[in-house]
Amino acid sequence: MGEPHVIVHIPLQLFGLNLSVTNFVVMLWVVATVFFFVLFNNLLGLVPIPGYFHAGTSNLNVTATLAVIVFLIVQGVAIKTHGLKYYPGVLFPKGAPFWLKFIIPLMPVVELIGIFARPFSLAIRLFANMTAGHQIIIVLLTGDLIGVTWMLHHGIVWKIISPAPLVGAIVMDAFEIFVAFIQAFIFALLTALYLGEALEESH
Amino acid sequence: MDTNTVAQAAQIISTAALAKLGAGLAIGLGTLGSGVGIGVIFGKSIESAARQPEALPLVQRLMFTGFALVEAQALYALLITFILLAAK
Repeated sequence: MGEPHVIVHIPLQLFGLNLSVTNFVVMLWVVATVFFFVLFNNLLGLVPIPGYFHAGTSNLNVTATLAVIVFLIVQGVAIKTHGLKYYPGVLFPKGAPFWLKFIIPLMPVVELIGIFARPFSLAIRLFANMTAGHQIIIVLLTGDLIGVTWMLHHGIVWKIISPAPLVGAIVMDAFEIFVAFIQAFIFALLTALYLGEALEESH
Repeated sequence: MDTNTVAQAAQIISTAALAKLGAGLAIGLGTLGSGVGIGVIFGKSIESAARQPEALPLVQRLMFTGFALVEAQALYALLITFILLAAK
């Protein structure tokens, strides 16, 4: 790869980050790639051409793959920065009481669960946000609510409130745009947070 | 309620029906905490923005971050609902 271009010093000075240049370049690559990938995949689900456009991130396999990739990158960066003694430093942190670390080892179990819960929550948060919005739009437009549809379609009530599901679907679509941006931002923010936590010098 | 009645009821009611009941309970109870959380987040950010208007950009950024993280909790419950709805 060689030396990073001197232009990366501009954001480093501008935002007052105390990272080394290679750390900053790595974080920039990972976080920017993740953000734009998630954002464009989220926004593709809003284009209304059925059969051609479908949000990639509304598939649990895609979000799980992204989460696993982020997890592996974070662990790799942590091992590269601190060496293999990163794990005892995380599982047995310095501030915890002694009897909780070694006599009854609850602290390592809790920390281990925390390490593995992060990619899970990343994957499921993105997947569920994308799927839930699309499901609500589908239910509103196709009227697939059993019982409620029958009641509404037979009588004067349907004639009065029949534009309501369409208006609801349009409002949910606007909300879906908002959710797409927010979820991409949250995914990138949490990736940057986990990377920063892995890069920090001492606990 | 004696266990004999419960056992007889569990033999009659199919697992698919119980799964749908569980799905309804899951999404109903799951959005309770998330509703309270979102209300607290937005209330506090509105209050802090009204108290100090020049802190609004920072508060707004943290507000959207907190909103997405709290909303995710309710959507974990929705995921369980989808899993339970597909039970046979």
